[in-house]
Amino acid sequence: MNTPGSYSLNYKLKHKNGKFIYIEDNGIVLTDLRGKPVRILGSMRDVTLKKLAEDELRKLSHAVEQSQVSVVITNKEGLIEYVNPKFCEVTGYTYEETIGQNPRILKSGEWKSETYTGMWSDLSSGKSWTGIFHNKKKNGELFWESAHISPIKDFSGEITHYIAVKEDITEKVKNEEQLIRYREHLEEMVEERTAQLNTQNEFLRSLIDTIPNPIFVKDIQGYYTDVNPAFERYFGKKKEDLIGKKLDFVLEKEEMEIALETDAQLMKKRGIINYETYFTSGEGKKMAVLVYKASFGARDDKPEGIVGIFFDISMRKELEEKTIQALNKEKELNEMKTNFIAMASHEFRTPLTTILASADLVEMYYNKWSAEKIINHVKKIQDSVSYMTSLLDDVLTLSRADRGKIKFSPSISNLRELCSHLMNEIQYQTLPGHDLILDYKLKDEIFNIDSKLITQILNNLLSNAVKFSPEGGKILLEVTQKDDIIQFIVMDEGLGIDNNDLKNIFEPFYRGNNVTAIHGTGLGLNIVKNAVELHGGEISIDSKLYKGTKVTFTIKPL
Amino acid sequence: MKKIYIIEDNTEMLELLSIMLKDINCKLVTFNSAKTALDKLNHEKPDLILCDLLMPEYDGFRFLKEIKQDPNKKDIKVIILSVVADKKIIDDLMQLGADYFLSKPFRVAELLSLIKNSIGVNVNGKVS
Repeated sequence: MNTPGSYSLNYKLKHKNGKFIYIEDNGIVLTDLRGKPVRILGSMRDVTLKKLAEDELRKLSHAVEQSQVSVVITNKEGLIEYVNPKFCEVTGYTYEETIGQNPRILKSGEWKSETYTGMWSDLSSGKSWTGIFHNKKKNGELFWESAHISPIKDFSGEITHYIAVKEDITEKVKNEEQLIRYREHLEEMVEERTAQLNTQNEFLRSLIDTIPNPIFVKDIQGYYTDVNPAFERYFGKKKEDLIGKKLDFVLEKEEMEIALETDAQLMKKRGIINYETYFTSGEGKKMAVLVYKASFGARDDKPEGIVGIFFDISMRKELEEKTIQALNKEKELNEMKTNFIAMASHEFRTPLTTILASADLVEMYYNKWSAEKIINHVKKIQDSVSYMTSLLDDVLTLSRADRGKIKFSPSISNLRELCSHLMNEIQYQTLPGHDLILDYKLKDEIFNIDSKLITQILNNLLSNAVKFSPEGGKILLEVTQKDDIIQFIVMDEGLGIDNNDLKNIFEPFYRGNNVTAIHGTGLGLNIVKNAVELHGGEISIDSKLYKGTKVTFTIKPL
Repeated sequence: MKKIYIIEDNTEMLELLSIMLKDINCKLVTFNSAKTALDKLNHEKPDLILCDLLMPEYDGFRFLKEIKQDPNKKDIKVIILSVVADKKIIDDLMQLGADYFLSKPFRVAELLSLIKNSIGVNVNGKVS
């Protein structure tokens, strides 16, 4: 009050309602003419609202200043009026360098002009715009920022400013770019791998399809999932019909057992199995095959299916069988040779002994002996020679029969006469020793038969019966007919044949164990069997050791 | 007089053997089975036995074994005659104690000289 002039004060007062109010107090000091202050004229205003608005503005301004995003305010013409410190930090421009500039100073040229066109058309029509810029810093470094720009209007709706809030997203973009690159790389790899797999698949497919061996694939339930053309050809069935079918669709019932068994094994545990079996082809040919099967799957303990291939080994099997047959034949021949040598040494040496003994004796005693005695020894020599000749004939018959040289040549013959003639001849040879009986039961006598073969058969059988029977033994020849087959039975009460010998008794040179001391070649029954078979018949022997033998054979007259 | 047994199942051969030996100064006894010869051996003892090998029922092996295992009979000379030519069988026979083996066919002279060697009798017949 002592000094003239005016004042202006701001202060806080406590209102009657307990709240503080802000007061703006203005006044002037009035003086008299001498300039001596006389009174104060002033006014007090409640400026609480204004004060609060100012506080608010300061807070907001502070927020903008401290913000971690860039804030740019331009005027209507787009010239920068304000940037916040973050903007300076991001771009490298100082506050002073930017004020009055167009934000174009940040343009990198990396961005398409359409972006800006779109932005300006949005902004000038009063809408806000959100987008991304690829901008350049003062030092030339490029950076990415996302921006939200909105126009600021005055009370009349006129655009006065634009405010842009921008965030540096370079790191984000970089990460994203990396992600994209990574994804692209992955895609490339996948593509490459797919191409590789395709090539591999194609390779496998053409391998499977061109392989001449049947190949099949089935799932864990045993349903076919794939087969190759060789498989289709083998079973004569189309792939589309085979898929989804099981074993029983292609295999015969008896062929399935081993297949099912091995499948079950493979389905339980991963592994490989091979075996030989028979598969009947689509043409109905049963062929020997070698099967290789394996279970497959991602895990060792969990098979997911079975893949298999098989080979037609019928040729090999045939060859094997032929080899075995050849070996058996050779073995047989060897046995025959052994038997022949044993027989020959026994059977030829006996008459030779007689011949040599008689010849020696004749030499020693020719001047002492009567002519009759000498003739007797000459006869022994002749008989021995003829016995040996008949032995040789048997051997020759065998070898001719073996080479198929003996032919069946039937002619009209009287069977009854043939039989009784033979019986008489045998009876004559054995002298009174045996009792020979012919029981001819046929009403016919004339047949179209090979009398030579039948004579050979009966002669051998009856001679055997005589040879292996005790004196006085009964020998029966019975002839019967059944339909168009004639059956002969030759029965004796002789030594019989041991059971062990029966199975080999028809082998050439084979002789029973109980007759080694009795002369014989072991050829008779072999010759008989050949002759019976040539006559379309069958032969069987029933015998009890030391009780007797019954030989039954049949022939088919024409 | 020395005594010779001849055992042979083949009648013809038995007859031939008798003829061959009829001129030597010995008594001949013939058998068509080894069994009957063995029976007779219980009552007398010959100097030599000629025996066939392969005979039904009772063969030369069994007979030879019987003789050579019996202390009373084992010094009887035995000549085996046979068509068998197997060396193994001949070896077996020698092992069993056969004194000689003669393979059939044989020369009469061979048999006569074997008999002479074994029992030392005079052979009257002409031996060539």
